[in-house]
Amino acid sequence: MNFLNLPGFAVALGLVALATGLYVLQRLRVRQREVTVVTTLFWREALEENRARVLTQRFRHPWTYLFLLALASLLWLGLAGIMQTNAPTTAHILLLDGSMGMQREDSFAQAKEQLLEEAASVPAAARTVYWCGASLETLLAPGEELPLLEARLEGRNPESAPARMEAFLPIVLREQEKRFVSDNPPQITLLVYGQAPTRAEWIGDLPANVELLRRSESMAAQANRGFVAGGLGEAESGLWNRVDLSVSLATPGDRAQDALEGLEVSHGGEAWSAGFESVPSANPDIQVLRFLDVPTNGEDFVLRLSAQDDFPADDQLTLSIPRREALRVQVAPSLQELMLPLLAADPAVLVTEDQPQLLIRQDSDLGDASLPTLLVFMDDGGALFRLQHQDSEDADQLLQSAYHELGMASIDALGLATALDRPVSVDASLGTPQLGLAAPLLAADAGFTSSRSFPLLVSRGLRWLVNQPALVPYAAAGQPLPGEAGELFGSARVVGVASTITLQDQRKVHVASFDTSASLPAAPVAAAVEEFSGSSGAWPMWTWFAMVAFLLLLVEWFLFQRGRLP
Amino acid sequence: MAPAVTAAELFDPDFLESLQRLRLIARRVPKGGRFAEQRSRALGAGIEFQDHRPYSPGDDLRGVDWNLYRRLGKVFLRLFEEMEDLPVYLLPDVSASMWQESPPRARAGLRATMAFAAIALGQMDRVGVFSFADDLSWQMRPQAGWGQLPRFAEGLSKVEAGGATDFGRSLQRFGGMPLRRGLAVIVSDFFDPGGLEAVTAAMKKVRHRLLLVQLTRPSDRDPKLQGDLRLKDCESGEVQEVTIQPQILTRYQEAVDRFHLGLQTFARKREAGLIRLNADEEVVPQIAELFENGRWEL
Repeated sequence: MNFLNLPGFAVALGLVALATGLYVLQRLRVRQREVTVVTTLFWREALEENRARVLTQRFRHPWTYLFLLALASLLWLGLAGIMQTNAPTTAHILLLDGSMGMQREDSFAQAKEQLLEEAASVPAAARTVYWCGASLETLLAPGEELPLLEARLEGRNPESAPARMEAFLPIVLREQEKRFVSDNPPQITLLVYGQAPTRAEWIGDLPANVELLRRSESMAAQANRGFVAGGLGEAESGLWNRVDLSVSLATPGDRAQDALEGLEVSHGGEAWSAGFESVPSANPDIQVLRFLDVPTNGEDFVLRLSAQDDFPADDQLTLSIPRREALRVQVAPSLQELMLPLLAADPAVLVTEDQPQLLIRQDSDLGDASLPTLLVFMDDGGALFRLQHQDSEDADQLLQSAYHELGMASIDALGLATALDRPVSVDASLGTPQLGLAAPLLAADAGFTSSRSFPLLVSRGLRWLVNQPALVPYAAAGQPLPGEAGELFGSARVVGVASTITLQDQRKVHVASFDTSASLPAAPVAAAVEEFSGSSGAWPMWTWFAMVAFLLLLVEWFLFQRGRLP
Repeated sequence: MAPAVTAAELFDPDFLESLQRLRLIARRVPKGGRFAEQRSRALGAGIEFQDHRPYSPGDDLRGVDWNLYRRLGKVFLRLFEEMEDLPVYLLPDVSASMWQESPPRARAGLRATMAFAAIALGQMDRVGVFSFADDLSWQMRPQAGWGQLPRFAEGLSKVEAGGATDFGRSLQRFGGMPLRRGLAVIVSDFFDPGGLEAVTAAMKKVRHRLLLVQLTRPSDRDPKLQGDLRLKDCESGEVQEVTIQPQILTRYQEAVDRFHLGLQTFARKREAGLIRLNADEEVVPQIAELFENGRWEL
């Protein structure tokens, strides 16, 4: 244990506390040895004379107090780890990769061992150690002693996270800039331990005072294949109860012909027999596989590489296929003429009067007010479009999200405004889901019902009203989920790896490694492993403090023997 | 508590032999004693002529100075200095402080007492022993004769430790005894809880000539003590908390020196003898050093 992490004022405070404590101890009644003597006559006289001349009665050993204070102060300063050193001119930043890729064989153990060894050769004041896993953590702050690092690394293992070293480095450099606020920034040496890639172009952009040294060899991983991304979208066939899946499979380019060896695909526990198509990719190491018309029955779609390689974490990918059923819509008689042809063209919609999910009606029509409704309302001179939903925090957010989701951008607002001779506006409010269209919009002379945006608005509006979840078209580690799916996560937009993510609507996205750098560590490493000889220039003053304390003890013993100290 | 000294040690032939040549000589002993070796104030049938006085009926005619009668025609008697004994009262201190250390001061004190008893008995004086602590006790009645020495040795070997020293009470009782005036030998460390003042005040009231035998030790002045101590008086139980420091030690030594000087001053004013004996060493050689040519005239 030491007090290196105490600031200067705390060390001074400790000294004051020691002085006070020793003073109090001096004032305390001592445990005296009882000696029976022939008479105390002469002691009484001697003490009475002495008492009359001292300033205080109980503080009897000022020299002893000073000796003790000197000894205690030396020990305290020694423990405080004061170093005789010049101001550090080089900051050493040691970065330990804790990403998924470090799970490969014993690469993490080797990197950790090398980090501990080389951290010892760097002055504590100029040394900072970071953990680069799912997030950036400080393992050892400047001035902290090495045993703390060993303790903090104890039991720590690579996380199921993509390699984000490049993303963390700017943060690290900013931290260092805060530490060294001066006109002449110090030399900064970044020491990278692990597999995380650092691109050459990125290194080229580093400031002149920053040097990057890679301390770990890249593991040869030519044999590895792995899934690095996946997603699902609307079926190109147009079937409403089908989706198309896209999966990215990383395979070293020279083994592309073996990429699909041992690939097992199943859906709902049964082997997938419909096959797939391979789509060319810009990256020769990535193959994109497409699975078409996968039924939306709520079952898991699992891809697995049965052939063993040296990195099994990315050998399986699971995508949860949503369950889709036809929307049950009841249409009021007054609107059937207009709406039925549109709804008949949408295979996801079933017009029925039995247990409807949605209503399409006018103001004057009867209907269950609690059901989501596409409502044609009588014109009151206000907005032509009214949006009402309860799945938003406020009206502005509702308007912003619904505008794109409903495809309202495709509405020819200018033409509509000209035809109706009035401004086109949208009102948004919170409440039972409702998409309102003013009655003038349906007039033939308005031209809206004959435009291509009308069926789109109706189709999307129905899905918007029942809050049907959007598909996740692409999920990759380290990347935010796109579109509406990404918004579901709020601030937590980063997809994890080798884990199951539960979306807000309880849908699950199972992902594998999804980290190209982990699956293909043979990707070019810009900085080669370079020599690092450590840095010296500081030596602890503990030895000197201990020697002076020992000399003081000798002097005190000598004085004690001479009867000069009690 | 074991005796400070055994009878065999006190009646040791070598010890007694070494005392044979020592003589205590009183300038003049009060009259009323029996014939012995000390010059007395009594005039009568002695050897050395002292004075004349007119004859009165009943006087011994052998004392008439006939030569003077022939010259003056009057009858005078020749008076001679009578030789009588000196009453010696030995007062050994047997208080707790005399038994505190090892070897106890009482050992040296009782051997000194025995030594003075032997000297006095050897010159036909009467010797009595009165030990004291918080009170006086009659140890040996005044008696004369060299043959009494074994009894003295036996008696002194049975002396036991007493309580606290009380010079005032002890010497007051001693003064109240119907004793012929003589020599009182006080063998003590003179450590009375009342201090030197109490000791001198008590001794002033003693009507006998005084011989003070002070038993000391080098450690009285240079105690081998260190650290924080709780010093307890072996007699009074009084406690002094002290941290041994150079200045404290110096003041302590000054107090000891004042005590010795005070006792010396008292002895000089009182025309008393004062012998300071080192209790750690053999007492006879120390006593002998004080006797010039084997004699010590009081």
